[in-house]
Amino acid sequence: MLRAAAVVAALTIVAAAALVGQTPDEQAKLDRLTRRYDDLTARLTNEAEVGVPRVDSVHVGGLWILSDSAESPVLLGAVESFRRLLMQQLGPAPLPLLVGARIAVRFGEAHPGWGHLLTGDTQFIGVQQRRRTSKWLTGQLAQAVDGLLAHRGGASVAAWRGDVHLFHDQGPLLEATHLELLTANAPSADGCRDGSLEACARSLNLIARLPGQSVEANAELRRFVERRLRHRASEPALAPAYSACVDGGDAAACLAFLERAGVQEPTLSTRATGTLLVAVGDVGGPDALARFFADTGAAIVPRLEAAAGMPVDSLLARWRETILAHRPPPTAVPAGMQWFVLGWATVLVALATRSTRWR
Amino acid sequence: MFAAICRIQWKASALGVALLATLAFIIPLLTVQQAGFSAGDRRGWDLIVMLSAVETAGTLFPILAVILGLTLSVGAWSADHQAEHVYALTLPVPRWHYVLLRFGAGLLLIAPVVAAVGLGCAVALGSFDLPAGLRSYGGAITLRFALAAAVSYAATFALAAGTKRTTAAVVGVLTAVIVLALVLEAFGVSTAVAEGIMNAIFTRPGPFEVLVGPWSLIGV
Repeated sequence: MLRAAAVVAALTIVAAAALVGQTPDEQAKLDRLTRRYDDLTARLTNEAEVGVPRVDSVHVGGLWILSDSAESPVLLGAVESFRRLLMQQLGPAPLPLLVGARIAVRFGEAHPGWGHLLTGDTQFIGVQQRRRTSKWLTGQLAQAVDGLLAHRGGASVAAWRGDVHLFHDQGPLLEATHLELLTANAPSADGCRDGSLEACARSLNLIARLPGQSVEANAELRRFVERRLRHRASEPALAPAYSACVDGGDAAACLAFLERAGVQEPTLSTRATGTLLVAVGDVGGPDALARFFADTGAAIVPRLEAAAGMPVDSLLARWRETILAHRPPPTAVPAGMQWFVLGWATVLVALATRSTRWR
Repeated sequence: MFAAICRIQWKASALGVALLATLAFIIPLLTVQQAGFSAGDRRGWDLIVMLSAVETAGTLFPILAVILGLTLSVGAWSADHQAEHVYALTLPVPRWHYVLLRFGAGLLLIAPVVAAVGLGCAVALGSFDLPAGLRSYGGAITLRFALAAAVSYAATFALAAGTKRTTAAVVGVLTAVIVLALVLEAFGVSTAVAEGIMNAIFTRPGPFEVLVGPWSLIGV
């Protein structure tokens, strides 16, 4: 028993040191460590001795959740909530993409290396004492699966740079994307807001900006330079390109201007790209996301189309409508606050009437 | 009697109120102008920078509300403090009634400044067409300002109603605790005291929650 505990402690320390930075040597060490962790996990799972720091596992949707406190009510509660979340988003059948993936949950004062780390097919979660609640852990498990899906989603997902936010509270996510679309300093976001689906596709990193792009996109690029970067037009090194771009409508000059000005054309954030997957889930039915994640070989646009069951333009139109509909509510003064302030004013005046000056 | 007290307080606070009303009218106009909304050529508009500028300028409103409260409370009690409260003590009204008259007169003087804020917001927002997707908050700012000024006035009025010793004790204790907490934190001793005091004052159920609310004249 003591030997097992010592091995766990030693492995934890070595794991933390190995997991922080990942040079090739460290990566190899990490792989060895992960294998040893797996061996230890398998061995300890079979031991029946009371008091052994067991590492048990729970099977959810093809995913193994390993923990040294597998019978903890906190973990069991979190796993149950997480199982419901997973079924709600990805359907009841185990998702092939998750089969074989593991989440290792370690209780106790978490070592920094166990913060929230993805290595190969294992996502590590450290549960510190002060955070030991099922709700928090459910969120962490969901976040871990988001990470695993993005990691195992295939080359096209990696190239797309689309984050996966299947389990986030969607309201705030959509409101944040609305704000981003409104204020992002990017021609594609401006164009998308104004109704161009091509611009929406560019803003979501679905198609790259190319010099030989459409007339519409060139006009959008020119508007961006004129609208957002006019203050730099007087710089001697930029003036000719600015003039050729804005006055002459030359798209190549616009791109040259951006390059010389050191301005990257940003797309929307990965959070926003994640909202497109949510739209896929909404329009494509209960198995849409499972279909999306199952087909890891295809490019991103065909995968989106297959999962949503509609052309990408229609999907983008739906996404745009959803985002524009999620305008944050106005920041009015709540009625409760008005009464609250008047209440405080009354209390303070009452205190003034009781001043010691007149007693 | 209320009219007489109003006249006295008006004399004591007229200059301050006039100055603050002027500022209250100007702030929204300057906000819109500085943020760039008054520039006719929309092609140069960068909304994120402009909204950020509007938000920054909005912090002037609660500052103005606190200064207004302070000015009015000083004006409310200055005559009595100078005369050692002899006049107040000779009046044939209960003390609480007299305090309410003083408070009501000061509260009336908040109105011109609130009106100036409302007018300034209306003029500023009327000077350009708001871009699609944005909202103006002229009415909300005016209401928020009125509430902030009222609670600031009530707090400073209550402090000023006390003896110098009471006022000094309240302000002194608060300042000492905050300074001590800051000093401890500077030496690496983490205390949540300063944060706790700030939370107690500026978040519900504290009295000054309204001061830290959103003060942006234009938003999403």
